[in-house]
Amino acid sequence: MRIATKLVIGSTAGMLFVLTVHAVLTFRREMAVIDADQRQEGQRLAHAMSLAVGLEWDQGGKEEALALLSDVARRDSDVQMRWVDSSTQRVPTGTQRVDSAAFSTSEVTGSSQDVLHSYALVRDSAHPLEPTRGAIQITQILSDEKIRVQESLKHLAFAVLIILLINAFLATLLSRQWVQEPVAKLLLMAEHVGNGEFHTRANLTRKSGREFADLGSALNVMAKRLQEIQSAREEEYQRRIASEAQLQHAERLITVGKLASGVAHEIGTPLNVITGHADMIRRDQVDALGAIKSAEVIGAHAGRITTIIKQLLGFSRRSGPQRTQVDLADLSKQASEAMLGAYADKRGVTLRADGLDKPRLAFLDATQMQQVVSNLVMNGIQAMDAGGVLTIDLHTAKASPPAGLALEAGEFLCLQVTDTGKGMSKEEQQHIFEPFFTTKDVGEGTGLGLSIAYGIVRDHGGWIEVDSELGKGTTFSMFVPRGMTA
Amino acid sequence: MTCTLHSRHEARPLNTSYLLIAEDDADLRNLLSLAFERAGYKVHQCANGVELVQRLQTLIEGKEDTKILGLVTDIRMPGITGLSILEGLHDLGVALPVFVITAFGSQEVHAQAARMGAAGCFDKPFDIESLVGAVVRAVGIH
Repeated sequence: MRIATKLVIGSTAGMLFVLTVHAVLTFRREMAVIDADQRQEGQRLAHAMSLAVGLEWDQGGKEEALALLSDVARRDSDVQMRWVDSSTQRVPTGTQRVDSAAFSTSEVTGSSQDVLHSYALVRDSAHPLEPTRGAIQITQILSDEKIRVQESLKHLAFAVLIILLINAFLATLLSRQWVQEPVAKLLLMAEHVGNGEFHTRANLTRKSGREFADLGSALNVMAKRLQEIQSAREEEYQRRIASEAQLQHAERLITVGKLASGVAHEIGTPLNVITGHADMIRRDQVDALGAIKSAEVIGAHAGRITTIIKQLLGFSRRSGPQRTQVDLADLSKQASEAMLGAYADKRGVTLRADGLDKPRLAFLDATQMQQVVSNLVMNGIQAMDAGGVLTIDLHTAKASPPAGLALEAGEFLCLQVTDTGKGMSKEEQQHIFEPFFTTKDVGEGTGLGLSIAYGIVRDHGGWIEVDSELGKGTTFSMFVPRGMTA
Repeated sequence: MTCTLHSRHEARPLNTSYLLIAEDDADLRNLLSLAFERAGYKVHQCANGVELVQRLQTLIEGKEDTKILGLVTDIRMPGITGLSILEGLHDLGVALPVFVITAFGSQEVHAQAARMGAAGCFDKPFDIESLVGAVVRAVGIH
């Protein structure tokens, strides 16, 4: 129930109660006053009549006296007078000879709802000790005054009803203005704040009621504080974004620097071989056969440079993943078997696979992911010069991404490729994903493979971890998000 | 090519003084060897850092009746870097003219090499004749 309705009902009920009590008390008092007046009047009249009738009785006898009574009764229409004879009926109670006066009147008033009887005894004044002659009965009918009081009470009740209706109407009207409107304003404000719109303010003046105005300004202060906190947080966020961007830029510069020095190293040697042989030919230091050999060497090293440049272009122009629903287990199985078929036999490497017989769905670019798996498997094979076991294990794992990656911890698909090869030092592990970093002999790799693989996996919202011990072997763990939402 | 060289070598008296060449790329190593042999040096090749260290040890310890005239080494090699070797020789107080070849060519590497007493530092790709010239100037013709 609305507060306003409660207030209206409460105030109306209160007024009704007070007015009703007042009316009842007034009515009772008025009635008592009228009653007392009538009694007094009746007694006086009875007394006067008993004296008059008594005198008439003494002088003219009973007949004269009763005639006087009926004569007076006929003239007065307001009251009825009756003779109660002691010889024919019992005189009403309370007529004992208590009073010693000649006309001692001991009257009994038996009042019903409408009439009031007053009695006065008539005695023989010469012989007061004789039994009474009888009594005068005065009967008064309920006076008009009482009826008027009742009427005015009815009017009062009607007036009360009207007042109550007006009160209810006004209270409803005013409560709407004084309670409902400010409450609605405050409610709207609270909803805005709840929705994070901290710039809204509740405009409540003293006119709306001090409590509401106070509540409104408290809400405004709260919203202002929240706004300040929000903007401070926003600024902090922007600062962090900016510093992260700077960091990324710096990292990019470092990467470019590393890439450049990597290119310089990788291309420097073949260029040197090419220019050296070219010089020998130019200076006529070789014979015809030597020139042919030199040309072959030049061609081979030019080819090496071409390969490096192609890989570099592949590294830089790599497009975003074209993802489809892929069974990573099947993909890993095919990729690893192909690599083992091509390279493992001559090195004496055997394959052990875990978890590849059960489908593991993920949202991946199949071609890119094949490249990654092939690369990891190839690295494992190349790390085992003297043969060994290459273990491929695919499972789901709860994992936390390494610090610095904007990824949430959760459940990932994890592909682990473990070799029993020569392993790497901590120093080597730190640089393993950098472009042009390689632990392989010349001609086995350019040092771009793992760097490209890492980039691809990062594009898929995952990452690669390395764990290695010198002389024991290395494990590469690739994490990619599982399921459709990847 | 080798025939040409051999004919030249035969014309000179053999000596037991060597020039050490350490480079992991076989083609470049051969090319350098050819150039130095053509200039009249006896050359010993090392394919990586480990081989170079072994060779240097035996020569320094005097186990062989030979003398190292100088060392031409690549900086980035599997096993051990040319700079580490330069540093080791420097620390041991071995006065050996060392020429380093680098692909990085950064100021830092050049400064480091100079600090460790390198006789010369060459950025790939370099002119082989100028390297030979520098070596000849430093160790003389044998």
